[in-house]
Amino acid sequence: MRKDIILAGVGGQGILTIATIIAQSALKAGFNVRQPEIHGMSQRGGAVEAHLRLSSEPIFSDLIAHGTADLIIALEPMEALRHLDSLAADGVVIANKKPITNIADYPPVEDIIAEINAIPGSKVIDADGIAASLGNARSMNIVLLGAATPFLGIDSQILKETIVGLFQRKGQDVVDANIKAFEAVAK
Amino acid sequence: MERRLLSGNEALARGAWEGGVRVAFGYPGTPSTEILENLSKYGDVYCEWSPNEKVALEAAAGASIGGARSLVTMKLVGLNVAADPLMTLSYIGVVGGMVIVVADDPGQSSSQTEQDTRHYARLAKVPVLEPASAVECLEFVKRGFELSEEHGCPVILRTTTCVSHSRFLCSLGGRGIAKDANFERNPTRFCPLPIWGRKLRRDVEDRMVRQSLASDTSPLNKEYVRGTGLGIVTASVCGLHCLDVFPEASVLKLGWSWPFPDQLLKDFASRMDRVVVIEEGDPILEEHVKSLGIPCVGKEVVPRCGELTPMVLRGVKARLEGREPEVVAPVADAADLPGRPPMLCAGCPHRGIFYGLTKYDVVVTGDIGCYSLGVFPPLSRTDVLLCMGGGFTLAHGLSQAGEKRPVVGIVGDSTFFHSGITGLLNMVYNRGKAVLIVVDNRTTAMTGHQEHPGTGRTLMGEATSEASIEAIAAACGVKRIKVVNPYDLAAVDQVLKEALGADEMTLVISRAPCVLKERRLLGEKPVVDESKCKRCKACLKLGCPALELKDSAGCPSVNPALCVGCGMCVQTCKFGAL
Repeated sequence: MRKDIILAGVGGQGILTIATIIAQSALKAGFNVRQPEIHGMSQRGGAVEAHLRLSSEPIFSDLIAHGTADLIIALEPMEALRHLDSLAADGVVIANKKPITNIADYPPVEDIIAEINAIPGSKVIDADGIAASLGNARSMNIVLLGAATPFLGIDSQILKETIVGLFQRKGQDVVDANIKAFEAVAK
Repeated sequence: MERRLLSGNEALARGAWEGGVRVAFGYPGTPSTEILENLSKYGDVYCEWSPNEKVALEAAAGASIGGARSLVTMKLVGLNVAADPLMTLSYIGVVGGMVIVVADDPGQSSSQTEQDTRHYARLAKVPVLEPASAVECLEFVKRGFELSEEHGCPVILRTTTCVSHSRFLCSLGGRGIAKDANFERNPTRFCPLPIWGRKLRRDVEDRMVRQSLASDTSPLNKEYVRGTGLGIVTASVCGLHCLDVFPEASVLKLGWSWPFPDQLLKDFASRMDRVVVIEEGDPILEEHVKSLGIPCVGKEVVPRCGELTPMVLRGVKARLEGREPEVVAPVADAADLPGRPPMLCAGCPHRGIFYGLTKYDVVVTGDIGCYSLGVFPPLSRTDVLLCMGGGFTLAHGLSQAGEKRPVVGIVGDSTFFHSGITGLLNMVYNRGKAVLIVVDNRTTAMTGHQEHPGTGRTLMGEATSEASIEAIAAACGVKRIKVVNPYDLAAVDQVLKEALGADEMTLVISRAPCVLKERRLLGEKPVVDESKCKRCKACLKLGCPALELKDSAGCPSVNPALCVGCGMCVQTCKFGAL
């Protein structure tokens, strides 16, 4: 099994949290993991991307070449488009619906969503809306992680255990809220 | 054995700890910052943020001359600042192992230059180690201490952004024994007066010969034999990418890349039909391979600029095979998507100063920090950026040379302590007339909120004395020192008006803590009253990301998720709509 995953979004959306959850879960599942990150200038309101390479065979490089990614998880719809040329021909995009439009010339969001939906198997999810309806707007990233779970090749039980471990020190309420968010779309 | 997913920087901290490091010094700089942040958490290693990289390297040199193992960390441009002590330290050498971690930034993800630190290693004549992954970071830093002690000189460990930030699964060991310093006098070694320095100079040359021989058989250099057709000589993380992109090629990945392992290079090349050198940055390795009489291909097919990602290497492969590099069909209009350039945060105190400056026709020389972002519209109030401390000194030179417009020099608080003070002193001494501003947000913000001499706290979390910018300026002889709250736009304007009209230099200290560090609301979040809004867009001139304009004919609105209630936009509205 090999999964090359690109996580994309805007600084502050919680992209590194879900990257950490996937990486730790993949390790528990016995995979080789490579996790490069983009840091620095991109942290504040800038575009953020994180790559993850999971493999049951040995892998060397930590970066994903263009046209080879199996999955793009985008916390912001336009940021999904930014990475489409990294996607393999049979790759899938799981994107959040809500745009972050605090920049000039944001393209029409309906066009973006239509473009993502045109990719076979891809999904646009109102993760902000779902998170808000669950009473924890900040768990948007975990909602989206739940939606992407069928494509990760990792047992969802392992992901749940990782989420519990990660949020434990913030209290049971936070753990429960995030598990609820994770299960909202994951089946 | 415990295994953990560590970033290169976390692994460097771990490796230093396992390698018995006694003391560690550095100055924050992406992508190196997290090394000391992590090392300080172990609790049993003395760690400090020094005011700049030169101080850090000198302090570490002191420790290692005394026999203790020391670590220094900085980003690439930091070594420019620390180059002076490095050159001489190479001559006098060290007793306790000393590893200087320099994080290069191919691709310039957060740096003003793309300089190749290997040049410094050659200039200083000290070894350079190049780990390709976190696993190697952990291993190489430990080996670096040993090499440093075996050869009696500091060792540079060069990472890149990719190496520093990528996470790999690492095997962990225990704490190494950290020896205290116990200095032994030896002036013929430690005082490079010319009479002794000439001998030290010759010793350095002998040392390099020994190091080249040692590198020939060092386990830090790894050979991946997969065929005899194409042989790739490479180093650092692009070696790992090569292993994926060129599955049939044999790869010699140098980990101890200078002094060059001549025999190893010759042996490897002799077994290959064709040799290509693939290195990020300048053709340092390639030129040496050629100087050994080994025919090879290099920068004619490998780009000099930017990161050598797998995609770039696929292009290299195509050129080697005489094909045109494949052009990835641009999917949709991905290339035309608007970018998300970094901008001053909502509620950032720097905004008050830059907004104030938009009212005047001035030339602004800025500096390195979050406030570099003052260059972007609509504020557009930074005209030049050079280096740490350059904000003050550029302003002085430009104004002394007869620039007709008033010149304003800006540095941040951490930058002031790093290298702003000498420029300030120079301007007072030489009767300069520029307006100098310290945008003091009480932290080293850009790199993620590190302490500095003005914050009253050390890296180890201890309370300490808080250096006063105004007291330092007064001691330098500055007569006009004005402290202003940048959120009070009228006060900012008043201070700037007076400073720009004065016939002597003024130091303005704009003081308010970084909102990301404070993480609290500064006031009530305003709401736009659409009945009062005249659509004049005066508030948008602040360039605040919390102010959104959904359609150009409409009213701006405040995004409550981003707004921190700093109140600046309220002050810009003449119609009481905010």
